[in-house]
Amino acid sequence: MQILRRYWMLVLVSVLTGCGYNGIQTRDQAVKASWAELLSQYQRRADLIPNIVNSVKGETNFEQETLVRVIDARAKATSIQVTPELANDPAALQKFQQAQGEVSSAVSRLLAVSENYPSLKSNQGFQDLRAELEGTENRIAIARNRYIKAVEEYNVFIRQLPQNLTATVFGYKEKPQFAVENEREMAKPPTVDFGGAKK
Amino acid sequence: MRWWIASLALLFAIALPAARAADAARGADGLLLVPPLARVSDPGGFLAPADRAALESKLAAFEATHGSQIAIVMVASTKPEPIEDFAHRVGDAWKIGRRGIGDGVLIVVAVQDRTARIDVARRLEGAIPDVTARRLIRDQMAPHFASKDYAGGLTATLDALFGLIAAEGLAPGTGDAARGDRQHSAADGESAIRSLIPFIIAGVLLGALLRRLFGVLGTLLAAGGVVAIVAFVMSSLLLGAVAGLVVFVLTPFGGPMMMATQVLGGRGGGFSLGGFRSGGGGDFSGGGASGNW
Repeated sequence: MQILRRYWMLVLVSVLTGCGYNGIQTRDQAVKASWAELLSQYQRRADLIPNIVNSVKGETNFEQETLVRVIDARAKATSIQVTPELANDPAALQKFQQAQGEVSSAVSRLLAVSENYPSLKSNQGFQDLRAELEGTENRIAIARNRYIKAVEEYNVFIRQLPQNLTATVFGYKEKPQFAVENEREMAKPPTVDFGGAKK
Repeated sequence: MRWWIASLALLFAIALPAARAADAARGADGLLLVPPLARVSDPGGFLAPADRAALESKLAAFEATHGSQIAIVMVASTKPEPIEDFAHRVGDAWKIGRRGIGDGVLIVVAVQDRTARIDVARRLEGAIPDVTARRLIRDQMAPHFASKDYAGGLTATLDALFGLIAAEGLAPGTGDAARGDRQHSAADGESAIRSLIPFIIAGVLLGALLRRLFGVLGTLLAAGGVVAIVAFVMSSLLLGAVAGLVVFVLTPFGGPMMMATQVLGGRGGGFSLGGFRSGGGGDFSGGGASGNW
């Protein structure tokens, strides 16, 4: 009996290592790590926005609509509770992505509009904030691509034999993917035309 | 078959600099291809050869003393791609910066776009924050670039970067930076000798042939040739002499030696003929800044 039990243990271990269980773990962790990185970059942006809004507020007759849009978009994005389940729920993920995309587009509009204010251009504090915000946007774009890649790798992996059997047994499901559209494209600065209104 | 590849690579290394493309190559999608790894990549020839050499040896010397790897890429334009995307592709492909440390910096200059970017690998984001990178572009690059003095702007930027990186207090360099650095310290022996392997293989091959034709004299000829080529390519007469001696000793054992080098070469994995080898540790995840002039 004892020998038989040992034999079964051996079979179980070799089945588990040969069935892609470890591979699933590795890829699942990679997805989690890149998700955490993306979230921390989003957070960094949310932290920077109040500063840049304040430095712009000092500018008299700054386009209020642009400013309000940034504040609203940030409020909306930060109001979404980021729980671990968020990344596994396609509808919630879609909502989250849309809210963050709106922040991107509002911020890039703010930065584009600020080009028209000479006093902001020569304001060192504003320029430093601008560099930080641009850097964060760039990091977000990269972190987002890395997340998409990690999810893709995971999804392809668990669909293949024999991992698909293992995944079913252990309850590993396919993860929802970000929409393919390029966030940088969404965040493209709009053309700003003051039509000589600003004196 | 490995020695075949190695000797072919040797041929290419000699022929390639002469046949350098006129401008940075683009792929089918119209985007710039990632250029071959180099300290200073300038296919468009925006830098005078002397300036380029000076920048290269400056970068090599810094890598030798401080270990951090910095590379410069000059292109005419990155359009239709934003400079950030191009820089990130290059950084992701080259991964410059020491393995285990990841201290790399990539400078991209798009001359016609009048845009530059300093891309900072994650390990150096503390030493070179985005704001500092932006200021470097504005204060060091832009004034020189405005008068088309690219070498001057890059030199000033590098000097500032060197100071920032040195202040970070990373592990010092191993003195390993082949081109432009003529004083090889003992510490870099292993990698220098590893990079000699292709020369030695080619030399032994040639030697075996010449030996059949001219006897011992042929072996000497092959050894002398290797000395000259290595000394020229790696700018070190000492390394050349070492390689020549090895060739001279090994040529009579040409056959068995092939087997040995196959094992050696297989383990060594990759060699650099231009002298610049990426540490492979740099993680470029978006740090740094861009700017115009």
